[in-house]
Amino acid sequence: MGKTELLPGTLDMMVLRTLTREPMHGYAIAQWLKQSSEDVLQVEEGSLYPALQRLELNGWIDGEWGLSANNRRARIYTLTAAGRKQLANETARYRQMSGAIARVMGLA
Amino acid sequence: MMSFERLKRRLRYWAQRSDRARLLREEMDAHMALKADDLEENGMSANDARFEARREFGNAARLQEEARGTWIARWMTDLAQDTGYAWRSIRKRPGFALAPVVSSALGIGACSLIFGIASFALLRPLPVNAPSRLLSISVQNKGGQPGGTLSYPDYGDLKQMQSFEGVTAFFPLMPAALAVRGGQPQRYWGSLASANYFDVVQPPFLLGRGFDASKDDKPGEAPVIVLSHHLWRSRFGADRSIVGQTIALNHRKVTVAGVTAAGFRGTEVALIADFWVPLSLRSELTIGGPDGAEFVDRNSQWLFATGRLREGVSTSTATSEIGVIARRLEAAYPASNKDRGFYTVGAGQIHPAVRQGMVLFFALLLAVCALLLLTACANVANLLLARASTRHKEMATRLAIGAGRGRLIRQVLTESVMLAIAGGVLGLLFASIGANSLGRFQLPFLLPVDFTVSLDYRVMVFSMLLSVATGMIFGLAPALESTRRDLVSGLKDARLSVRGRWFSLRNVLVVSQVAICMVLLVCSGLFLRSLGTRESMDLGLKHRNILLAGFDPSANHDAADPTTVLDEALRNAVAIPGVQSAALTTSVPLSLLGVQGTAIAEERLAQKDKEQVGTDIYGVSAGFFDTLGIRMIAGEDFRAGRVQDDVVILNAIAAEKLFPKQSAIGRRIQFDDKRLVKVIGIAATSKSRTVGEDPQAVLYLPILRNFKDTHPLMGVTLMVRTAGSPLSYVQPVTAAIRAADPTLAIFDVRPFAEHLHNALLLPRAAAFLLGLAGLMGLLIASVGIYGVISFTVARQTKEIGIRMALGARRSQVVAMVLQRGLILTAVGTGMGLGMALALSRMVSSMLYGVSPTDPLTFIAVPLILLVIALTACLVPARRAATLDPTGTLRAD
Repeated sequence: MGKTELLPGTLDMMVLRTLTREPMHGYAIAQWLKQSSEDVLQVEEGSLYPALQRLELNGWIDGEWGLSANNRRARIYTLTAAGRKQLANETARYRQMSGAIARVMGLA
Repeated sequence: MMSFERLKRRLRYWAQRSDRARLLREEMDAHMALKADDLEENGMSANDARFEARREFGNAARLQEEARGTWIARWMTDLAQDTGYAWRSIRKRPGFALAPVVSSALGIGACSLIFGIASFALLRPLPVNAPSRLLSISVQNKGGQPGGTLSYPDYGDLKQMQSFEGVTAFFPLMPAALAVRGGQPQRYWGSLASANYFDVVQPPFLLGRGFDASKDDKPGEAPVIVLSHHLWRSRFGADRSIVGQTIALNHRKVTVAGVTAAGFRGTEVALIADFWVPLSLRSELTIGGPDGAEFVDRNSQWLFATGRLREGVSTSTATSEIGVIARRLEAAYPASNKDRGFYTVGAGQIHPAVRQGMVLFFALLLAVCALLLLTACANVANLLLARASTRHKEMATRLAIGAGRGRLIRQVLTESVMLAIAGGVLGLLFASIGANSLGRFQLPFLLPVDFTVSLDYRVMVFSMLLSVATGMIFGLAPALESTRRDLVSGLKDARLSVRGRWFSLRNVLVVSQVAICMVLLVCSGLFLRSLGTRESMDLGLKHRNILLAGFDPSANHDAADPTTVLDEALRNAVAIPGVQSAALTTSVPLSLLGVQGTAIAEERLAQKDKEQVGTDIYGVSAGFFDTLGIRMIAGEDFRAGRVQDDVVILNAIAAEKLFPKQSAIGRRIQFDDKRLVKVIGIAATSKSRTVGEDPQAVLYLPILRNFKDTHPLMGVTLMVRTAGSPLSYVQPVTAAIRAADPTLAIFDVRPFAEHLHNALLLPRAAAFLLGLAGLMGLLIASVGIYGVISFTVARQTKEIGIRMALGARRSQVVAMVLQRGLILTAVGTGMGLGMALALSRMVSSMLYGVSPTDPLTFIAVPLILLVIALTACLVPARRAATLDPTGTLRAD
């Protein structure tokens, strides 16, 4: 479909990373992911929501109902302290992993 | 920590699941709306923008489901759905649920009741502080029986032991008359206990306190009494101001010290106490006069003992210390303590040797009930299988539209588990009814025994677990069968191969059920017939129009005195208008127990080999034989009033055993190694203890002369032969006893016929239990027949369709189905008859007045069974007959 498949587990990490910038609603997160990956990562937008539910259940993000920029009711997510810690862990792990893959592939 | 927070959140989300689902949908809609707004701004038409937003979002329904899945475990929603589905499916055909529910209720009820009794008898701790530290101490002589009682001096030595914080001694079988504020005295059973009893046992108190260990043991202290919660409620109307009040116990005034909390009725198994008084009151409350031998003689063993272990001391330490004491006593008092040993058992527990037997017994009973339950499960499984094949269309449709097989199996299982749980609830009801009727069980003699079993939480948990397992067991095969993917072809093959398989597991199971049910019903029928003939049973005495009334004159008077009261009471009774004759006796015939004694003819005393004759000993007054209608064969009855001479009356068997082939009249015998007494009469032999006993030798001693020798622990019974209904004489007879001594409690006033009813306890219990088991078997077997025939019909649908298409009449179809059921039943009945014939000979010793091959029973029971079996077959047969031939052929 022309979209690049995500590595499993990386969506959660990227959502956490996105939310370090500022609290955002789901649509804004999807937009940001698309733009910052320069349209390479095209997440099926809806699949963001199971991920958001999962992160919320783990206590890493907090959802609050509020208003979007153009005055539509939307749920705005904030990163929690636990979420920050989790992001740090995930990032370290990812760095290790991608470094290892790069070495195996002879790219590093 | 983290995961705990997560669990809490998950539960909260689950609780708000419908709100959250709605909000999630709103959130997703908002997302698509925002996206559409953006697209519109970039120049798309509103419609296109909405469509594009939706497309890029993906499958919203699936994603919602997935998102929900993160906070609701999938199985929870599935379970809720399955339960709802099962409920609707049961509601649609409630009649169908009846057989599974009732069958499993019977099995689960029986298992729960047995488990309840076992857990009550074996697992229940005493309701006292730290019950595990409480040990009961008993005597067991070398090579002798366990459970012996202690002498007071031995107790004094055991009290010194280091392993115990304290040791208490008590006598738990003391009847006493209790009067409340001018009311009539009534008899209750209580314990005489050493002053430290409550410090050792430590039961919880509702009001007041126990004995004062430093005061209450000494004679002359203010006499006190502690009441059980049960007595306080039933006799004192739960009066909270009772502590400190004075009440009358026999002829003594005692002060109420306290009331124990509910549940505590002494430390002995099944033996209950309603009050406790200090040992120091013994001589004033019972026969025996001033403190004598009982407190100094090591041969006088009459006390129970319980000790409380010091904290941290093990049972084995205490046991070895007890062993040391036993050996020391043996050395110091060889005359009395030779070979005497002591052992301990956890208080309120059954002796390990007996306990082992009981565990085995209960395990066996439970196994039988489990077998019953399994049989019921097999029947229900058959029934459900029959239904499964009528349901395959529904299942096939569901499989076709993509339901997972596992999910369908789970759904069918949910339904059967629900049926089983309904059965379990009904079964618990059955079990509690059973436990209740056990509690009402009455012995034909008076002992403070309580059979009340309470079904506690353990039983509830047990039966619910059992229900779930039951549902799984009987539901699994039908669940697998109905969800088979190659359903159609599988069934086609099965339908063609079904005929000719008479020895399938199914048929064997049903045949054996019918056979067992037959045996049970025949046996219970025989017992019932036997009970029916008891009117004409030859007991050797006439039991009609006799009123019995118990009282205990020894409670109030010294050894010599009771006879005055007895004499006066008897005189008063004889004077009542309408009373034909009256007599006193220490034992009422047919009480299941009696006083065992020995006798020997005078001339044999000199012989080396002094062979004693075992006899029952009755203390009776003049008029005993008249009143009971026992014929005098030779000699004469006692003279009325006080008998001065040492005389005795024998029954014919005793005379024959003591003086074979000689006349006994005028000869002398010695009884219980005591006095010589002269035989003045011989009475016809009548039944002494049980209806079924072999003729028993009996010695009748004049009660007014030999009162103490006849061991009247159960008190004395006044027997009155009345003109007309004995119940109309209750008032004058009790008045006659009261006139002799108003402080006596009068107990167990009942017609002899009622006493006899209780005496037939064993055959009655056997008939009842066998009948109950037979009825349960009948129910289960008819479900079995019904299930098998339904199953066969379901499998033969196609064959039946073909037959009908070829012109078979409906009646022929019905006959075909009925024939199969009849053959199964007939085979089972035949086998059952054979077994019943063999078995009824074995129980013939318990049958009176009925032959073990009683034709009425052996004809009626099979007929009843056949009729019920036919009825069970009729339902599926009619269903087969109303099949639409074209429909069945087109079905697959």
